[in-house]
Amino acid sequence: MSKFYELAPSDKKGEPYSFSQLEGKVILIVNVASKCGFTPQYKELEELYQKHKDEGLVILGFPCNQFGHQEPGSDEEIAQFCTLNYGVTFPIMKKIEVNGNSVDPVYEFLKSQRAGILGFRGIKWNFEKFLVDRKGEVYERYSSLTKPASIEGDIEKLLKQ
Amino acid sequence: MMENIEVICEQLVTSFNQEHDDPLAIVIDIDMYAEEVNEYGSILDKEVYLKELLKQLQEHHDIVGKIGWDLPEVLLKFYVPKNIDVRKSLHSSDIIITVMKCFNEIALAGNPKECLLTGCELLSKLSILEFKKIEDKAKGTNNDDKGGSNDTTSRENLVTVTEDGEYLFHRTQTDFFFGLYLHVIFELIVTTLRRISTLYPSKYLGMATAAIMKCVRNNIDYMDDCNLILRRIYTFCRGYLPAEIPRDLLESEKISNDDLKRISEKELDTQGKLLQVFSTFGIDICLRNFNTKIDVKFFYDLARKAMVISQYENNVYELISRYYQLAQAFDINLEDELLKFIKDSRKIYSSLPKDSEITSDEARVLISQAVYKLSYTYSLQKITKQTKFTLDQQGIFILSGFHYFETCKHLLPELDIKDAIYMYLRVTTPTLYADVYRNNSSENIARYWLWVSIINSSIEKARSNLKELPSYVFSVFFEVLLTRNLAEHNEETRLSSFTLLTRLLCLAPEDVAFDVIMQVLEEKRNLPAKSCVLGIMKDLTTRTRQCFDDFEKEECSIANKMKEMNIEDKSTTSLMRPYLVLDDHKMNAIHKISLNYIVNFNLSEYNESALLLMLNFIKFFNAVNEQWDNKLLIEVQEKIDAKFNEKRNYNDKGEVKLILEANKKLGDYLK
Repeated sequence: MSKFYELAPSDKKGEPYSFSQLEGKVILIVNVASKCGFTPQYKELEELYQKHKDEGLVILGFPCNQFGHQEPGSDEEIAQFCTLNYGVTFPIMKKIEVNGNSVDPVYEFLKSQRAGILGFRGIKWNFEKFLVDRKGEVYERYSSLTKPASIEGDIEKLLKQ
Repeated sequence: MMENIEVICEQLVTSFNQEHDDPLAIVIDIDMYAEEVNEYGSILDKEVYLKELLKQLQEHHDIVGKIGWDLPEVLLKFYVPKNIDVRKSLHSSDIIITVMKCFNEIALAGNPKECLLTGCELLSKLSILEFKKIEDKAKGTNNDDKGGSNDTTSRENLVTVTEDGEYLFHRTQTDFFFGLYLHVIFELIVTTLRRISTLYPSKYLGMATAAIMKCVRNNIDYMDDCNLILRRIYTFCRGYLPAEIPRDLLESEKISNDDLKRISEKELDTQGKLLQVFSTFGIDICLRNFNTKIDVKFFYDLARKAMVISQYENNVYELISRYYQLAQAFDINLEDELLKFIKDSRKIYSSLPKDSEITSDEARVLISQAVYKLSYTYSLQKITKQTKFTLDQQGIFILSGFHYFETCKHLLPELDIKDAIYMYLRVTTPTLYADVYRNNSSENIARYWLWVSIINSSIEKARSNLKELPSYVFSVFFEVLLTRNLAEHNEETRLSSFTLLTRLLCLAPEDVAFDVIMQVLEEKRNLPAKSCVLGIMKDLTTRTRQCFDDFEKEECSIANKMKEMNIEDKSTTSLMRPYLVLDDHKMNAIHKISLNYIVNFNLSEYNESALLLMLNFIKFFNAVNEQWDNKLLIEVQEKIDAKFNEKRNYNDKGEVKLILEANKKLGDYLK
């Protein structure tokens, strides 16, 4: 079994969200921020989620304030922002750090599995994405510039597996 | 007289249409017409000419492919004060916009390798001083013509005060044009880099970064606003995308896929390292004249006070924060790098002999002089032996301190005070031999780490660690810190560093602390330094601390017993003792120096610093009078009285009045 399913980050209320419940699903993990130029990607993410959630797609948003301090709010404020402005229904987790000494184990795992541009492991900015297949293996890593809609092909491919 | 602009444009079009086979002729035509229009034409003529040139470039990409690299220099000649009003927005000038669009066409359709080379050459020779000369010359002309009254680009006119009372500094003409040049050249470089089809992109990335480094080194000391270049380098690093393996090579049978993969992976690694080095270089060089005030922030945080940050500083902090994030994205482990920096710094100084191994005063002087030079020699050796990519050490060091600003936590919570001192010496002393090593920000961070080392460890531990440091190393360190602080312009930094100096002397072994103070007082050196150490000595002799070791405790206990027996020793009572206990030896030494100063004080040649030092001597004696030998105090008091009462006419000076008042207070005590 993939180590991915052993992870259990905190949800927005601080309760453990065990990844074991995601076994057999296709998961898209995104580090999100409310005040970023890429924030409108929430809309496309929600559209993807609505379109494929019944087929087994799960999207998880991990708020992070490390890039340009663009996620300064509390977990509650962040969740409210996502719902009110983009109608987000997929889970938004507790705010975490994705780089540095206090990196969340989820990102430690994801980064160890797939490097970014130039082979760097570090997350470069908000809205980088990791796509995980039904077996808990990291399938691909996408930069902030990659729009969620353009990942749809990969998602569909994994959903069919 | 200039030819009609419509005729010039027609000729330009003809040139593009008819001289397809002779690109050089087209370049000469463009150059010739541009020169004429720029020299004699109106603003409107220039706009018309540039728009026509843009149109031709857009319509003849094949020609741009041949001549593109030759055009940037011609186009940049339009970016001059006579064509552009720096007070207006960039978008309001068609000249600015059209030249930018021409650059874009060149970047997209020109030969990428040649255009990159042009961009690098332009950047290497870009000099802000040239823009300053133009600005100064224009001011001179304005002054001649209009008495300077309409000079809207002078520095004074570029400052406004907001309703909140904050000063806003607008761009100067020099910064404006330098920034504009930087923008178009950087864009040219970035775009052409992306277009170069090669299996070895690191070669071109290296070329571009080398040109940028040269440009920054040449100009940073003359720039008012380091944001200009700090932002450019950040954007360059963050936005860099590695070139993919050229398709023709993928399809070629001359090279195997395995070889291609191997070369490509090696190239990715090299490009990554280049960007790591370049981004840390950026933070180092761009902040060389900037006071990051991280030490002040820590000092204020200790005092639970908020540090006032100007808009300009805030903008710089925002950018440093981006670099900090970039370092993490580029897999730079700041903690590991700082540990390496500490280890290196320790290596520089750890081989120095212990105090007990130095046999004569001459040897001590020589070894002290060597301490000043060690870091500089080490840097030179490191450069000559360098064969691998290494991160910019000063850049890493700055980011290690900025970690506190970013996270409110120390990257290394526990730091040996000796290591903090070694790091301070390493960062500051090379400046004495080569200005290229001067970096205000690094110095700032070095002071921050000194603070961390003394605040985050127990007093016993800090004192015991300091005991292990050779006294002459401490002496050099104290000397450098004191001298640098006296030259510091920023009041907050001066105050926090003065407190730091005092705290360090409180922790140093008593004899070492006294020796460094005496060294400053005895040497023929600047008077403010002497005033400064007198202030520190006053604190050390009047403030008390708990006794630490057995010897001190026993000493205090004896003093207490003597007190019980009514045989009181003024210097030591209870288990508290001053940081610096005044015994006969110390009293005599200080008395001799003060008396010497008073006797030789020449009233006819005095200056403010000299008077302040006199005042500080009396204040010191007033503060310690109860611990002092009254006979010595009487001598001092009488000499000062005699000296200053000789010429009462000096009473009009504030300092003299204060000296007389302070001396009277001393006299009253003695009565």
